[in-house]
Amino acid sequence: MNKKHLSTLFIVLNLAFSFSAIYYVIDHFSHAMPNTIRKKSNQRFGKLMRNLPVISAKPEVTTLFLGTSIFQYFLYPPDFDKPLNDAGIESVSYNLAFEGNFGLGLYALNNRLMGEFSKNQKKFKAVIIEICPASMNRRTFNRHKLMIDVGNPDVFMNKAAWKDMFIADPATATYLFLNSHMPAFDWQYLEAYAFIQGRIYSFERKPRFAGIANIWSLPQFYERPEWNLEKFGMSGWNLPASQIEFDQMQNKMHEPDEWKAMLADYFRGNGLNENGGFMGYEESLINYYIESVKLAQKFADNVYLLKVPYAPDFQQLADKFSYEDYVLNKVAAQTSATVIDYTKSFDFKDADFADAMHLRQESMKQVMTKLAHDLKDRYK
Amino acid sequence: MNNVIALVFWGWIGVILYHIFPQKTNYRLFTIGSLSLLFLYYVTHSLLVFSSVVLWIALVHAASYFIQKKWIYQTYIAAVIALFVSFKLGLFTTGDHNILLENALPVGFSFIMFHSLALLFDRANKVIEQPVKFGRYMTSALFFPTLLIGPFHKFTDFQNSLNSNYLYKRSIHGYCLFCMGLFKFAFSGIFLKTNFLYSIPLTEQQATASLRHPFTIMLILSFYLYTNFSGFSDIVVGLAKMMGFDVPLNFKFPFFSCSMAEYWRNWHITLGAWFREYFFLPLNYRLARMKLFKSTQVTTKLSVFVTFLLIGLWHQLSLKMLAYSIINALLVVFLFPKGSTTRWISWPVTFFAVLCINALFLSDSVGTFIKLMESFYTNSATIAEYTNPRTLRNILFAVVSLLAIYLCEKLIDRLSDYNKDIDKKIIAANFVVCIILLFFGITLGLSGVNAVYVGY
Repeated sequence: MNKKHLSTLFIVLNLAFSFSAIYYVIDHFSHAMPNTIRKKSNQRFGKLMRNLPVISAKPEVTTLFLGTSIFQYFLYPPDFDKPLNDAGIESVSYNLAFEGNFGLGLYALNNRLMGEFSKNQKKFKAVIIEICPASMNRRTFNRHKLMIDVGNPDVFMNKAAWKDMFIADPATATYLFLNSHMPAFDWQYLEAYAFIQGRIYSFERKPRFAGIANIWSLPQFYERPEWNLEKFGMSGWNLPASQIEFDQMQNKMHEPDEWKAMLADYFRGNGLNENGGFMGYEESLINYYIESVKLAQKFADNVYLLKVPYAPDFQQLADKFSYEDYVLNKVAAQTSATVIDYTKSFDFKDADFADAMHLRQESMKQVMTKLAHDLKDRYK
Repeated sequence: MNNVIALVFWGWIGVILYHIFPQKTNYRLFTIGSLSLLFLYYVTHSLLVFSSVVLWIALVHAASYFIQKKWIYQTYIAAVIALFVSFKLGLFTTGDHNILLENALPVGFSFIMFHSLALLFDRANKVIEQPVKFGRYMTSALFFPTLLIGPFHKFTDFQNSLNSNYLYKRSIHGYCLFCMGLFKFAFSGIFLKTNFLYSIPLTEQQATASLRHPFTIMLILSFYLYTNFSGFSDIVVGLAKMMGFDVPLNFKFPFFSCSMAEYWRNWHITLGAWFREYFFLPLNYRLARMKLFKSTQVTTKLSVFVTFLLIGLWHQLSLKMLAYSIINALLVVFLFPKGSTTRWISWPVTFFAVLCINALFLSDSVGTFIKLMESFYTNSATIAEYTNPRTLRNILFAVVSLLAIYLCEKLIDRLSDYNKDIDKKIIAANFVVCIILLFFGITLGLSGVNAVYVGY
């Protein structure tokens, strides 16, 4: 063996050992913790798709509600169906969780729904989609730039799209492929990761691995929750062990200092740049949203866009620094969808909110009840 | 697309090709040249920019042929300075974006500029006597691992590497450096930035946050800058070495320096060396000949001052960088200029000075830096932060990791002398260390980690 082979052997053996170690750890955790992000994605989309024959047995009388926020479920999971059903509206709800706010997930889901419904030529009575202008900013865009650059939302649901992606961008495709089992390269995770940096996640939990680095404290390394969130489309999700933990976190969050800091963090992450100026809306995200609404119009007779209120403190910041009507008007003008704007329809206080932009369960019930009544009037 | 990921991808293609093809000069020149051109097109994504860069290289090459005509390269220098200033003044900026820097030339402008000036100076000073061949010069100027943020390497060194034989020690050393760099880079972005800094550059809000002690912020900023920049440099040098090219290291344990002059010899070594060789020494020589001052020491100090001013303004034409360069120049000239006999006094003082200048470098403005310094007096609520178990855990992890980085760097440094026989135990230890570094480097991941220096 000459010297050249020595270095080649060193490198090849080292790479083999390293990747074996990585594979072993990932494999171990993917078995020990049954919910890798990809599985969850499939489960959640799969659940909706599996249920479609049931829920769309009579689509012409069914209202489909698409919520777009993980927080709404994370803190106080609301039941969208019940208020609508109570008002005599047949409905099915689905939450897009992580993907929702930045358009691509909504686009992908609506693509699927359209594919599904174009077969039987039936349309839903109505589709209600949440809209959140504060999320359509450049920060969100940058956070998901990698995915948006790829420009194909199906990449993470459709294996055939990998080929196109590889031709377009071999380095990214290879990198994503090598790490496809890892949550860091899943767009759901990207959103989760951004949240992990913020306060919402910064409460003590039970790390399962190493316990020293935040990176190992990702959701997939936690034990399964005691709650059953299956009905909210959250199958396989790991949440903090009990509702008590949530309540503790909630109380902590509403301490005045924490609340102010959280609002500042939140607004910095969702609207302001480093120098305190408004970042401006990211047109491509708005366009994706518009495309999604247009898709929804193909499988629904009516499309309503629901704008839920923000916490009053946060609303003040939003009024001061941003111009949310721009997004609402633009989407409404280009899609002719009806906007149901509840920004100023309720007399909520900060304590009625789980955080800056998300209602508590009880407050959300009020919103949904009002929505149900409004819909009832519209359906007459 | 993350530049580092692209670099690693293309770099490993280069390494594999180097090991597959016969290691003759022309083969190597062809493979590296082709890969460099492909990489340039890949990062620029524009035929126009790609052609412009190649044309630029061709013009420099032509100028190096007619080096005896001074006006040619003087015009070139003037043109480069004008273009450079227009870059830094943001003449190509629309809104928040700089079209040229972000879309067309996200990388490489500084590197190609330094490389071309070095060639012309070397030709003018007859360090390189024979005219250089175009293919070789172009491959050297566009050598893709170093195209992003350097380290700067000379054409002559490149040519020597091109003709050199295969060295197994160099390959192993390169691989170890690559693993180290990957870990440091991932550590900087995923861990330090995520857990402690949240956003770079430092904003006034962060600088005055009530639950963060300014000294902690300064420490983390410095370690962040070091792990980020040296991590990237190590990846570059490692890949280049695995491809058989000796690119100089950019860092040499800078935080252990006992004077600012020593610090600048160990921090961003290649930039410092370039400015020393092509600016400071000629300037000092000319000033000494002009005999403006009686003492040569005053002349040297003046040269140091002007050099640092230039280095600072090269980074950015702003008030912050002006302050940065002036403070640096003052520290180099007055803070233990000849070293101190007692290391235990000079090291802590220098270390604190280093923390200050790095904090200034990573602040968004001079005002933020001043606020940070002010909060030394105004900030008292520090206990709450450190009693949080999560923070304690993070700090513990950071300390252990930094210690591990230091020890690993020491271990890998033992491989750097290719003339010595290396103990098998050292190789075995490096083997184990590489597995650990690569494991954590890859699992921590590079997604979302940005190189601080790419903007320059």
